Amino acid sequence: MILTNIDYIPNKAIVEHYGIVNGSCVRSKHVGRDFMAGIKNVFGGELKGYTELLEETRAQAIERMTRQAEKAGANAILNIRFSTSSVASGAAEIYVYGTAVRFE
Amino acid sequence: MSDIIVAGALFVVAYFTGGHIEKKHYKSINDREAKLPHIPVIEFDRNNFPYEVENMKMISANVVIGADYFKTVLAGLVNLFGGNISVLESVLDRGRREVVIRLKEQALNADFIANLRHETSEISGDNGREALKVENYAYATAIYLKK
Repeated sequence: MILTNIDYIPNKAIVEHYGIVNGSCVRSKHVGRDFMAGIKNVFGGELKGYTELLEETRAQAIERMTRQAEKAGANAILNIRFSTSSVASGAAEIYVYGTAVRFE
Repeated sequence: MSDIIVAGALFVVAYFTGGHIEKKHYKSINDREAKLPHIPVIEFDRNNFPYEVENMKMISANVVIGADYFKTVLAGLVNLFGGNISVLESVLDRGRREVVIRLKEQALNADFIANLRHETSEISGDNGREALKVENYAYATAIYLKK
């Protein structure tokens, strides 16, 4: 499965379009991590717990999108875009979408 | 009364810890930026790309940076009068430069980095009453040419 945010695959012909595929995921860390991040927030610096949280959330959203594309029979997703929104304190929603295609 | 003393103490402590952490971070950013190889970051144009592509890979990186208590309180004060909130500008600047470094570190052998996109979001559902926690995210496609 080729994932890219470019709108085509160089030197390859696209034989079929499957339309838009998407994946979303909402995750949060346990209250202990939130508490530690809150303390770190007083003194400054990178909040590693949240960096990790968003990384995991994005990976899961991408996985869901990929699964959807595979089910449709695609072997690449083009024009991938991300969108993030905060739904609750210490939680994040990630939405990822792209166009599923099959190339030769 | 004791609340005010605690808040005042935190304000002073955060001034020193936050300042120290920021200085250290900027030093590390400058050092790592200098070490990175030069990879052109381009906007991909299919009609204007005269190279043979061997492989391409999507890369992404993120970082969450929190403003300290000093910055938060000061930002609130500046907000009353209006104007540049420079204490928060540096938090966002650090985040943006950090993600680009992390992104490029994943594609050290790439010939081009195409379609770099930045995204910024805030992790706090409390209508911004909490201290600023901001996520910077960047994604792009690394392009490897046929040698």
